[in-house]
Amino acid sequence: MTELTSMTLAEASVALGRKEVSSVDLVRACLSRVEQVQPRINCFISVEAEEALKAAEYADAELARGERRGALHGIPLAHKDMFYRAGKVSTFGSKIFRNYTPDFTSTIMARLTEARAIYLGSLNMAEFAAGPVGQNDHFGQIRNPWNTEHISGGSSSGSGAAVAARASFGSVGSDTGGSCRLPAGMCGVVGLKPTYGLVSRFGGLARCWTLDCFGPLARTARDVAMILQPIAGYDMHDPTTTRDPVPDYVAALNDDVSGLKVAVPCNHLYPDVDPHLKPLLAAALDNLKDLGCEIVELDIPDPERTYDLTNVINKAEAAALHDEWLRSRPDDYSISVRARLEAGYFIPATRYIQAQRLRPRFLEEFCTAVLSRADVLFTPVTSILVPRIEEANISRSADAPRIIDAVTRCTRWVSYLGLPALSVPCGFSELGLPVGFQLIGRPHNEATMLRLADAYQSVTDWHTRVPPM
Amino acid sequence: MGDRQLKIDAKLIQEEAAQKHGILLSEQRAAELAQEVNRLNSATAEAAKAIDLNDDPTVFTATLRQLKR
Repeated sequence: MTELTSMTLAEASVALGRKEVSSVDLVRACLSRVEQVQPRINCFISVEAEEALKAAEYADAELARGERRGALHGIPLAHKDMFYRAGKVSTFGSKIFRNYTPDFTSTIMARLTEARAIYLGSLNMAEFAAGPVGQNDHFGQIRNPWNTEHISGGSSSGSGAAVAARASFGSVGSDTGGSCRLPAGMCGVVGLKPTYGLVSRFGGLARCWTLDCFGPLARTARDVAMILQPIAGYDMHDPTTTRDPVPDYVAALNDDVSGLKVAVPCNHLYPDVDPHLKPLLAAALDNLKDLGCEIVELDIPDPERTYDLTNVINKAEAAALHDEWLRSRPDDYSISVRARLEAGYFIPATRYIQAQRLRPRFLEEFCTAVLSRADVLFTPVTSILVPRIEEANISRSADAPRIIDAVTRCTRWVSYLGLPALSVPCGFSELGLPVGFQLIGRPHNEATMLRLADAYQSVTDWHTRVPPM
Repeated sequence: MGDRQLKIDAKLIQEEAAQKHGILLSEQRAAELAQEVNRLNSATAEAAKAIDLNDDPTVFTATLRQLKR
């Protein structure tokens, strides 16, 4: 690792603005880091070295002319391989679409290009974004940079691993039931699932249209805010996006956090948490208390109920989405992914619609019970320690279904409610693997969660630790 | 019918898979799916008791915006 890749995105952005480094320097440093880490953690599907260097030269020339497009200008980023770029292959981590070349560009990639972020490469992911552990039978297992015998989390597995390994300053992933938050939590970086409808889904692979959210992963909350800024907001191509003005997320980080109310559930989630995680979560709450936050214990509506409803929606939509290929090319899916999709065929349309009809009601109920009494809800990202690859592999371990289920217990139900949620690193287990907490915020109130996480990171140093690679 | 939970068995899953979707499932896989689907359907039926005549799924994103503060 070089000094350049040890910088956060925010630090690199400042250095670029002061002309202390060039975009070409940053791209070269990242490419060199990719060469080092890729053989060990398999986080990339493709690296676009030549194009990235060319784009960096262009970005540098603009900077030299005083034409800076914003804070991401010249910053190398790598993204989950599922956001379309016209004329470029998007594999979705699948065999079936290994050579899929869309003729249009996703809104998210168009906005990042407009902001002059540099596209470093496409990141490995769970096949079709369907899996929380980072297993990919077609492009190879993604490994945790802190210990390569352990999973990276998924489905934005390469995003979590590459950012933690300092191979990219940040990444955009997708989150349908925890797919940004889980790899962030397991790899020790920050991951955001934005409010449903904040970030355009146009031109990104769908996993489940009514639950999917695209969001950033980066080393710090500030970096996440910087990536979120240009990608948030209305898009005429995605009618679910909000027309409300986009707040200045980075400026909002400077607001005081004292007086913010942080709720901790006293009736659900915590009883199942691994005892090794509890002291780290308690310490994080102490940090927030020291920052002036008020910690309140609250009863929350049963997450199990919304967890099941999330699964009904997810499976029904996924079966509809994959119908053609599940019938015509079943053997081109990995066993684990096909197993996740098949149940959707047998969920009656009436049950699916009932699950959808209950969403506004349960969202209101949750906001009244929890988020009208507190600014955020604090939970673990997962209730278990980061599993080993072998024990999470459905073809090799009888315990894998239980582990996979446990991995998503704290995140999936939040997707049903459409609420924003942020995964923040808060320490390491005895095995040296990251542990994280999750903040769940009010609808469209990403700014408060990011502000709180930024304040937390100003008094802790977990995010500065580098995997021993 | 009342509150009686209707269960789908493995045979029905197998037949539905073949006849409606053109998918061939082993008995064991059909049994696994029956168990999973029955659990999800039951959970949804139970939750659906809270549904009011006027609950409209299309207002979800508007509800998110209304609850913003």
